[in-house]
This record gives sequence, structure tokens and C-alpha cells, in this order.
Amino acid sequence: MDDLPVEVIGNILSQLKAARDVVVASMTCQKWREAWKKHLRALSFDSNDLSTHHGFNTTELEIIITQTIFQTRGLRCLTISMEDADEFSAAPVIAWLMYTKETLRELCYNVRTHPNINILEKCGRQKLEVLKLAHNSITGIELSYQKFPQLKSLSLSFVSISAWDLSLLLSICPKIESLALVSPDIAMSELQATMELTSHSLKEIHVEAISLDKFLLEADSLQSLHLRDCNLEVFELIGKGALRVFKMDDVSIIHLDISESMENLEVVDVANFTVVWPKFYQMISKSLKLRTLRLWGVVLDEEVEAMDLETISVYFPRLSHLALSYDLGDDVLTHCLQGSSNLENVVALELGWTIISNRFSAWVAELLERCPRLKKLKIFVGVSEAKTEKELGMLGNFTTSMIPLMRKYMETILHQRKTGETIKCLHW
Amino acid sequence: MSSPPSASASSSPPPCPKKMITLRSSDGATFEIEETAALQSKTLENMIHENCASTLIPVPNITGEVLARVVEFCSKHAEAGVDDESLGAWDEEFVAVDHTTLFDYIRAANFLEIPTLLDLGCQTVADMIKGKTPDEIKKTFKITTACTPEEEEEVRGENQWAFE
Repeated sequence: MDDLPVEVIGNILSQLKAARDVVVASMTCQKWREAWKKHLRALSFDSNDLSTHHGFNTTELEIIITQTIFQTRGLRCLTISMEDADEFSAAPVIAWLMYTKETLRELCYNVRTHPNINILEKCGRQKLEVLKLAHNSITGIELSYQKFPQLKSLSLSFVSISAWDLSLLLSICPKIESLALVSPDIAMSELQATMELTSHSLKEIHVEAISLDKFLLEADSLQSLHLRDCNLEVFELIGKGALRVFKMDDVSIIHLDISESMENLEVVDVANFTVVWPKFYQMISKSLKLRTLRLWGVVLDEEVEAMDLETISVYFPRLSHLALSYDLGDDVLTHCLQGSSNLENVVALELGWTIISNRFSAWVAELLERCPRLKKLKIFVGVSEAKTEKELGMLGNFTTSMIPLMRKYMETILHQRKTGETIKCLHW
Repeated sequence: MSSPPSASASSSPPPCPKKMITLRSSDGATFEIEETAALQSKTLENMIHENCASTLIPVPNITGEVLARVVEFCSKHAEAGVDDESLGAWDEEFVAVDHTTLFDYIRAANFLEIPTLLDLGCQTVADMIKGKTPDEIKKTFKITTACTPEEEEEVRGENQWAFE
């Protein structure tokens, strides 16, 4: 190992990342010292790594981080991640950002500063490709000189920013591809809580824990949309048909308006989604390329119909993964099982319930019949804490009814072993 | 190195499904590699574009044994349709070798400028170093040089916290 070039040692130390490990390792020999001083590319100060026998207080941390960063040169990735840290004072934070300004490509920072500083103003902008901020305030974006020409990935968690500044921020990131907004504190006018984001380069967006009157997203290149724990009165998506992944988790949208052809949609994954279902079904009816469909925790009533198997097989001929969890009333079961088309390409099936019912085994049986190429089956059984006698009885019935079914498929496995197909039953 | 004059050399190469490059190791063994796989090496990429790769590329610093594995790595990573999980598992197995071989891979990746292999090798070494004292590191990797006492004192002085 003695003959490895110093830059390669720098690469090794950079992969170590955690500040303590890098400092200790740098003492190995002179070449490693040189690698530490001149060729270190990544450094991470993570509260999990830093404190061993005793924690360091905030001032001690400020000193440690300052002293360590200033021994290096040419740092490209800097991570400062403190759990439950008090605020850092502004001066050292500004020093760290100014020192690394020319070379920094990746910055992850999650500590409040006092007084609050605008990280976007102080950090290196020319080369920055990845920015992850948490627990900070962004106050004021000025278009005239601030641009992030190389920024590809932006993540803001528990960050205060105005709706106006957020949309401005996107507009000064011409190459941005990935945006994550988690629990933002978005200041907006009291009349209407609106957020409007426009980006021609954005490919994926993840928004979590947000409540708005209106969210307008204009993104021609958008491929992946993921909302989680959101309440939106109006959600408008304007795109150019590039959308491939549509994921909703605990989301409620009263008016969903998507002016974008859903032709290229490959994944629809919605769980506990409140939306106007007939309109939603119509929206995805043209998605012939759909491979994965997950309709989980759909609450059905007189106005909301479940998507029946016949429709699913006609709309989505290429479907390979199907996951359904409905509360099955008799009507629903009959409705869903109408027709007799098979789901020819489905290889993985996930079925779930939240309310125990005797109809579930019939549902499972029928679906197994209709998926001739099935390879994987997962059944999710939600059992509430308070089990009544009746519920326990039904659970018992269900389990009992599954046995001959599985036995039938075990036989199928035996028969089909020669062809190499197996059906795996997982997760009861 | 001039390419032999021939009718085909003057015209642009026809779109060939699998253009092969031949590499020759320090001990004379030759290995064929698809051009697409070879492009993962910046060194080879430059040579291909300069059209030196019409014949044989000598790779003087790397033995046949190591070069064979490097070719394997590049070919695997150039394969289409391999999902991230299985590639990761394959990479893990690839670097499950003794230290000498691992450093051979790193040296080869550095010389041929293959960033994926270089980072993989360095990450593996980093994982081995984590948590070890300098003496332990020296022992594990048989490093014979050392820091002077003055340097050691300087490091400890500037970074007391790391040694507590």
C-alpha cells in the first residue's frame, strides 16, 4: 500500500467521511497527513459519530468543526448534521461556508443559526450540485446576481420560506432535477394559501406535510410525483407527458387537475388517498404502459366505486404488480369480480383489508384464478386491538379458508416445478 | 503508434454491434473487452477516440490476473438491465478479496481512470479503516512509513477531541 498515490489516499479518507475517523486515520503516516491536508474531498460532522463518552456542548462543537475544516483544502462535500442541537452562532457557520465556497459541491446542514443567516447567500453557488437544508430560514432571494447554475438536487426540511421566494428559488436553478419539501413553513398571503412552482428541468418532486388552498406545479420534464401527508384544496399539474410515477400517501385533494397526458405512466401508488375517484379513474384510463397499480385503503361509499378487475385488465394490459385494499361489502365484491378477463401479466399481488369480513377469502380465491402467471402473493391483514368474538371467529374462518387455497397452489407448485415457476406466499 | 494503411481504416467505422478492444497486460496476456465496457475507463476512452485502439492497447502496470478481473468489472457495469440491488451485491462479492488484490484493483482503477471501480475499492478500504487507531491501520495494511514525533504532536494538539 505504500506506493498508492496521495490522491488515492485522499479518496479513501473521503469515503471515511466521519470527521473523527478521518482525523485519527490521518495520523498513520506522512503521506496520509498530506492526503488529509490537500486531497480530502468529503467531511461529515454527525452528532451520532461525534459524541462518544461525553457530548460536546454547542461552543465546543463550533470550535471542533472550525478547527477541522480549516485544516483541509478543496473540500467538496460537507455534512453537518446535529440531532437536537442548539443553535450555532452565525460567525463560525459563515466562516465554514466562506472557506469552502470555491470548491463545495454538496452541502447538508440542519442546525439553526443565531442570528439567522441566509445560507443560500453565504454558501458557494458556482459549483453546488446538492443542497440539503433543514431547520433554517430562507429570507429573500435576489435574482440579479444569485444563481445556482449547477444545482441538481434541493431538499428543504422544516425550513421557513415564503411561497414567492420558493418559486423564485426554483427559477434560479436552471438544472434542478430533484426537489424535496418536507414540512415547510411557507409564509404566504392570508387571503389564499397558494404555492406556484415552475421548472423546465425538474424530474422528481417529493412534498410532505403541507396544507394549501392551491398548489400549481408546472414541470415539463416531471417524471416522478410523490406527495405525502398533504391537504390540498386544488392541485394543478401542468406537464408534457413525461410523468412515470404517481404516488400519494395520506393525501387529500379536492380538485385534481392534471393537464398532462398520462400515457407514459408506469406506477400509480396511492394509499389513503382522498380524491374524486371517477375523475381519477378516467385520468389513468389512458395509461397503457402501467406496470404497477396500488389502490390501498380506498374508502368506498355509494358515490365511490371500486375499480373492477375487468376494467383493470382492459385498461392496463401490461400490469405486472397489483395491490388492492378495499373494504369489501357484498356489492363491492360482485362489482369488482364482474367479467372474466384474466390479468395476464400480473406476477405480484398484494391484497389487504382493514375490516375483517368473510368475503375476503372469496376475493383472494377469485384473484388467484385470474392471475395465471402469479409468482408472489402478499396478504396484509389489519387486525384491531379490540377483537370481538365475532371478529376472532371471522379471522379464524379466514385462516382456515386459506389453507385449502394454499394447498391447491402448493400442488400447482409441485406440478409446475418442472417449468420452474413458483408461487411464494408471504406475510399473513 | 500508426494504424496500418487499409481501405477500411480511412472510412468511418460502420455501426458494429460489438466492437472489441484488445488489452495486453504487463506479462503479455491479452484480453478482449467490448468497446462500451472499455469506455468506463477514461484512459481507454481517450485512446479509443484518438483511434489508437485499432490494434492492441498495452497496459504495462497491470498483470494479467488483475486485468482479467478489471475487464470483468467493466463488462458487468456496462450490462443493460441490471437492477441496482443485484449490481450492489455483485460489487460486494467482487471486492471480497485479500488486501494485496484489493490494492491491485485500486491501482489499476487509478491508472485506467475507472471512477466506479476506484470509488468501490476506496470505500472498501475505508470500511476496513473505520474505528482503527493509526497503529492498527499500519499493521493491517503493512505500512512501513510513519509520522515524525513533531507531526504527531501537532495533529494531537489541533485535534484533541478526536483522541479523547
